[in-house]
Amino acid sequence: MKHAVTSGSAKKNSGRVSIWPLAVKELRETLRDRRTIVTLILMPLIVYPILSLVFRTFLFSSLGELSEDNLIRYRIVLQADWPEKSLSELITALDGIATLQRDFEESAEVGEADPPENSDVPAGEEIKKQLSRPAEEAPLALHEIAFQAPDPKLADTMISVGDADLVVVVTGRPPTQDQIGPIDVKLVYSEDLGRSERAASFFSRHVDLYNRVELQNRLVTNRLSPNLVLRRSDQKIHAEKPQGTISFTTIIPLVLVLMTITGAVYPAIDLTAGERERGTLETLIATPVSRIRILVGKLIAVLTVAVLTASLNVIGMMSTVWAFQLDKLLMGDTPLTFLIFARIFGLLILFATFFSALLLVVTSFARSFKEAQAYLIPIILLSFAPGLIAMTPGLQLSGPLAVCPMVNILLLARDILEGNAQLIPAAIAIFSTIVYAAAAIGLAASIFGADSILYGSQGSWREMLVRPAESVDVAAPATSMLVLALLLPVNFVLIALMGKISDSVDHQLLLSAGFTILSFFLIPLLVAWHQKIRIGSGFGVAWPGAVSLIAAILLGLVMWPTVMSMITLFHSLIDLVSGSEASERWQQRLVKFSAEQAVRFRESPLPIVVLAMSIAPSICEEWFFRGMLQRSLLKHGRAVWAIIGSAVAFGAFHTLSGSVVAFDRLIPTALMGGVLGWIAWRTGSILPGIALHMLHNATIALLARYSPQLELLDWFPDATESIPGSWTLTSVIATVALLALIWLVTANSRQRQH
Amino acid sequence: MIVVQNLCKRFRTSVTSVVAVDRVSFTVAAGEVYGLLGPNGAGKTTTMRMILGLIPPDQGHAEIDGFRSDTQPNEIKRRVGFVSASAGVYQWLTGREMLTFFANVYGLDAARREQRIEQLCHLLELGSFVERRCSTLSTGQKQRINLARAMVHDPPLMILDEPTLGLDVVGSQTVFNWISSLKGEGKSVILCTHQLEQAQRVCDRFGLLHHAKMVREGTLDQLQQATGRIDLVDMFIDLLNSRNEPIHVNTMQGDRT
Repeated sequence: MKHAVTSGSAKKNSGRVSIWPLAVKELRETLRDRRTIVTLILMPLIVYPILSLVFRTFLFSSLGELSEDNLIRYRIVLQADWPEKSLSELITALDGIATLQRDFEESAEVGEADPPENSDVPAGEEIKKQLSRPAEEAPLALHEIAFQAPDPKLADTMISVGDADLVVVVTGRPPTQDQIGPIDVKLVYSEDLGRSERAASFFSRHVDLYNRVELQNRLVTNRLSPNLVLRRSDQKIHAEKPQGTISFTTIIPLVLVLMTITGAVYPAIDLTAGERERGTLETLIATPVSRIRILVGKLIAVLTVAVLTASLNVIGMMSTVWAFQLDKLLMGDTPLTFLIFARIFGLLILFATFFSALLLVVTSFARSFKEAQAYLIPIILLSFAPGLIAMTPGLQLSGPLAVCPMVNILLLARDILEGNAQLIPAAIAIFSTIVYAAAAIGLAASIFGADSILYGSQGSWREMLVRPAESVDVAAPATSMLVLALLLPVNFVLIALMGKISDSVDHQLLLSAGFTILSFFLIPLLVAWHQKIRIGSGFGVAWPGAVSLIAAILLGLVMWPTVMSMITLFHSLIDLVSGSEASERWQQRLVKFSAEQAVRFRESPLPIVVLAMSIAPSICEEWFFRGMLQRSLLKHGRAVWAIIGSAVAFGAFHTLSGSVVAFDRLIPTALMGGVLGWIAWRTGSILPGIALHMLHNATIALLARYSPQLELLDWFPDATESIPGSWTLTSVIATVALLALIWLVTANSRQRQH
Repeated sequence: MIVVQNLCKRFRTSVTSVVAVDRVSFTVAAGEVYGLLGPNGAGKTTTMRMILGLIPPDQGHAEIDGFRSDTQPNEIKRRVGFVSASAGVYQWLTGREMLTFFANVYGLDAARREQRIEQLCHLLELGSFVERRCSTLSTGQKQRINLARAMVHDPPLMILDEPTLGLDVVGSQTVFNWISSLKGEGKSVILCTHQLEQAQRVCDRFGLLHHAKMVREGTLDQLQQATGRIDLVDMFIDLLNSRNEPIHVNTMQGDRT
């Protein structure tokens, strides 16, 4: 006989313990630890100002010396046998011309004076170009200018040892009131020294400008037209992304991501391996709180610290950039707004969730602080690799990179900073990171507090890979989420490979079938074998009942007009939301893609088309999405969320079809996945779904293949027309009726089960 | 009533396989202190962890108030206060914060929690240091906080795995006096210790583990009769020199071989 707990206090213990006290305790412990405070507060407070100082020193030492007014001043030595006064006059003349033109340029910019068409002054744009001062150089007269007698050897030495950036050897007659020149001006500088070269370029611009103006004055004096024979004008257009240079817009997110990692590392170790080392983990496990709740409490704490670190770093970075007025220098014309930082901060939270869970997975294996550090060092070093990849100039957020952990977040953050983030790659990057985070949390939950780790038996890594002793009915959610996380990059890489392996249409279709079988059938099967998941219950391979199966077969034949109309409707919605121009561009790509697909279907033998487009995807995708994934989610949660979860994953995978990201397929395919998931749930089998999926895909592929023949029929709509309303209506009614039939026939059996 | 039945545990590694606990059975009645004794590596700690449901046994189970450790580990955990030799404290929390945290984890309401913490502060004389951070406490003070932590939910069974490890004479004496007082409260105690004289003083019955097996079990009188020795220390020395034959003196469930 069971007795109630004898003491008064324990009687109230029957309810589940909230995660809140767990998380608060973890946070309290972590935030009181001075080591956390060091990484959390001191780092952003100290690192960014130091970095910016180093950066400025480095940048400006290569540009030239900065003075208090933030202007670059070169050290220029004038060598001539002239009196100093004459040299000063020359400098003043050169500077005067420049100042004159600059004043003109500024007044032209604010619209105070329009340049007259046949002006004595060169056209505004040209002056602008000549006088462009990329690094804020001071007016010529304000530079460090020294005069000395000509000495070629001394000139060389001065440049070589860095005593001067430029030596100007002046020969000829000193300027008089009546006449200036001819004067020879020889610039002595080194191409190996950036600063010396820039000083020469700076001085040359003044000389060129002086010559131009002087020449035009002479023409006017001699009553000749000052207009140039070839008059050039420039039209500036919006340029494509700068290629070939490492942009600061990539470095900023990288620094933030690395700082977020830094913030998460210490609490992750302390709350797992540290707790174990101090002997408090066993005490915690001995309480009636599930290990997953303890883990979530720890995850909340680690995530909070990571996010706090990220926030303080963002604030530190923003303040430093603004305080040191580096924003223009780093970002050029794109202003660094609060909104941009807010978006990047959102990405950081997402990334921090993924990384915190990953850290907990790794540190949960460790038995001591030292061991955890030993595990994490390679992980942190490894995480630099995606960071470096993301810094490759001209890299696009697309294809496999959009699903590559960390790289996708870094590239997306870069695009946001540059103001040219695209919706679809952004959505893929965010979706894949969410999947990775969920998989990491699932994995951490399955290993956290495992006896082998808690009690230090040897070879815990190996034990994690050992097959379980007993068979299980369905996959654990952690297992199915891991498979999903694995399939995401695998699928991308395979799709990218497909085009590279062969150009032949037949080969590509066969490869597509092979890759589908590998990804969605063999990988889940291998995992099921390893984890001893029973095929029947784990994948829903069971007899669904004749009526349900027939209803599913009929659904496979009648649903296509509904689905097609839905895609059309979705296109109209896109028109409405994103404006017709964007939608048109997109539609053009899709039409081109669909046309290519139709040609493929026509050119290839029918069995290959049916295998690649119908048989392989239907069996394999149902096997994984409605089989392994949905059934594992069903076992551990509410049916509606299990169906929605697998449907969204199904839809997301279908957006990645070959060379084009077909975002318009997401919602219709997810809805289709919902229908398939509902049928699998009602019937307890994936067989009706396979039948429906197979026939539906076959119908669509055959309609595309035989469209030229079908269009000859009067009653059949051609490619440019939409599906007739009556067809859609009939299809919708038939679909609803058949689903109702499945609902009816499964109601009895489900009641019996209950 | 605590019933431990036929517990077995084997630890497997990549190269070896070690039997940690081999068919261990015993019972502990309410208000009884049971001394689970044995040399290092005998399997005492693993047995305790299996009773608490921290390690799943390969065979057998423990039962507390009718709840089984293999099927209802959380019910078992609600009924057990556990202090292990390696139990630490949260160094950045104060003693009171630590006790509050565990009271919350065990689901005590605020009023009961405060009342219970005050009771324990009085019982274990924590008043002078309960508001201090645990990192600043002495070993004895930390252990008293740990004992209070294990009792915060007022459990009917205490499992104490070497609770005096690292404590000085006075500290050990305090802990053993406290264990004696638990008997008066009707609590069952499973005590594992190497301080055999003290164990002889506070325990009602003993189970002697050696090489993963229960080799002797019974009251002190029964052990003395069976071994011809007066002290547990002498019995222990004989045990270490003997072969590993299980000798069951008398058990509450009758004689077994």
